[in-house]
Amino acid sequence: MYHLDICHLYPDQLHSYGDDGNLTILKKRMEWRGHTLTIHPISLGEPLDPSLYDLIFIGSGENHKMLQIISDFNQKKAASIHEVMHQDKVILAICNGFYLLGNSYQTARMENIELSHLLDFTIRNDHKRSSGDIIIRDHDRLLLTGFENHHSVVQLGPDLLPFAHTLHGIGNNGTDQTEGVRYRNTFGTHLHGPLLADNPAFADKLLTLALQNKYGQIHLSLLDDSLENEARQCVLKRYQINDCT
Amino acid sequence: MKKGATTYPGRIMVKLCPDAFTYLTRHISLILVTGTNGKTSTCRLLEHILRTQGVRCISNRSGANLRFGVATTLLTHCNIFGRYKQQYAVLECDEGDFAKIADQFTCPNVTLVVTNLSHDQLDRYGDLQQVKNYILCGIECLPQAVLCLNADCPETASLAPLVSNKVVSYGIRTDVDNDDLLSDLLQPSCILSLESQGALTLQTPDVAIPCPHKITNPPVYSLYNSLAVATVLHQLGHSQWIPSCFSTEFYNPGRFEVIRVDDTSYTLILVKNPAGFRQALQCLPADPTDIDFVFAINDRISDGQDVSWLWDCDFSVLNHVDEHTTLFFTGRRYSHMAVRLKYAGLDPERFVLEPDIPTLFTRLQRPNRHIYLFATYSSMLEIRSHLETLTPLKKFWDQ
Repeated sequence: MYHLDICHLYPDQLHSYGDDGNLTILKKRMEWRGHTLTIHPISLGEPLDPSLYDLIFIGSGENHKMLQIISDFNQKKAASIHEVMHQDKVILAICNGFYLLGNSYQTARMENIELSHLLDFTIRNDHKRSSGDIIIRDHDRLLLTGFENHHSVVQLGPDLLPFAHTLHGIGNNGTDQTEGVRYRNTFGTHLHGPLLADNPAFADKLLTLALQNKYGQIHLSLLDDSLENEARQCVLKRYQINDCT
Repeated sequence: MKKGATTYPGRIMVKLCPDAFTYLTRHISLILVTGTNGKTSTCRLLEHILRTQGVRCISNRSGANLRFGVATTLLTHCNIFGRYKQQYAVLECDEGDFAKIADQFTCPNVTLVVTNLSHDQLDRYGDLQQVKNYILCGIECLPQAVLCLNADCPETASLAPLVSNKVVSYGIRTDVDNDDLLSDLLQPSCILSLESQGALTLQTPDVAIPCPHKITNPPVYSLYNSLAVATVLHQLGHSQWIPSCFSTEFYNPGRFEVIRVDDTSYTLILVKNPAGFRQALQCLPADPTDIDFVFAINDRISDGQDVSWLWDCDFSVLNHVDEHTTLFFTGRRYSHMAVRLKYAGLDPERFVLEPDIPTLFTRLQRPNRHIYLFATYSSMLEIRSHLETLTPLKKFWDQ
């Protein structure tokens, strides 16, 4: 039996758009296989001990709530996140949660706010809302579907890889077909939905990475994902994108 | 919505004559209702009570609550001189369009109700603060309006210190106090007391009004709608009609509307956000037998295109329904809802996925079953139009 400990960062501030569903999904997919997973909420002001967690989850939240936590993140959490990141532990960060890892964030009033500089990317305000279904393909050629809802433009630094490439939707900036960021086992993305609901293969990829990091070689049994796959197919069909391409 | 809500005349009016709202509303008292939940029910109840008392009023429909829809409503009810026979206009206003709607009015007789502000259709309007800003901008255009604010909703209550308008606030207090649920920002001036025996009393600044009611366990959200209407009536000097806010049982399509087809009964429940879904689930019978559920989830603009909100609802109550209950899924996002309930702990063996509505109904129709049907807005329209082929129904947009 395997066990994972997940740190849920800022559950009181970053909990919009059903993103917490990602945690339910990871937990259930462990339990259905006879394994266990514990979720540890860590909030404003609380220290983050990097040795305690196998996976860190940062959800999305409203812009003004994100602005409330930036200084806490930079001062109290960023050093620990840096350590976790370089121990190849898994980090999943969605939308505003993903932005916390970058260099700077531009508000709706065009003020630039300094971020943690954990990863080399910047966020500009676009004023235009990117909202709608998004379909992407990651480096393992997994097709993922979700919903994006942001008015920011993300520009990745020259050495940073995107999480995936967009087949439909806007993604990071609507021009270079990049979506999100991937660095070691850190994944930042705009995909709500929540992300893992439509994409069970990606959920299992995260679990596998976290478990391998902890136990070495592991084996995850297969689950019946027919409902989840039907949900993803339903979005793919709408945009005439074939899962086999 | 093509059949139901036309906004074309209003579009033309606003284009040809930008001051049209001001002109049209010189001689009529406006009651504007905005907020994220309960707008339609609040408007329908208010309208029903006014009409029952012989007071003439005009009103719009939930499908016509954007700027041009409101304009169309005002335009189609006046005579050729821009005069009205009616005393009041009860207008439901979309919260995201409220700033634009309010910008049109300069008339002095405005009562504005803000029912509540919770996460609702965030993909349309960005975040809740954005929606609050739209409402604040709207209020700025209406300096003489009297605001009726829900004091128990923290976001709504927080509007009070930001405006210079006269504010009449309302809230519910029980003899078993649960302070956690209440916001301390705004002390309500109209207080509905819920006693443990079920008696209701409305305490206004001047008088306590006993409010007899027939429903044994009224859902809290419907009490808030009634209370909002009572507060408006108090504000308008019609306190004598307040008891009828709580005793009226009136037809409200899609809001726990019960429709019988042969031996099967259908309860139609409109859902559009986590707060509403949660409240609807709380109103299920305590010991349900012979019931089935239908979840009809669409993702058109009127439903909210992002269905992520389904993951912000707590469905654990469904784990208590008996094992003979079947869960049916339909609508454009039928499979997303099924996935959601799978992860809520329900056994997919009990799921029936049927995107096609006519086929769904052939499978639902079983003698002596009670079907609870939760549907998003456009899905509700599709389902009602199918039910119309089985039994005579009132038109959704007539109500």
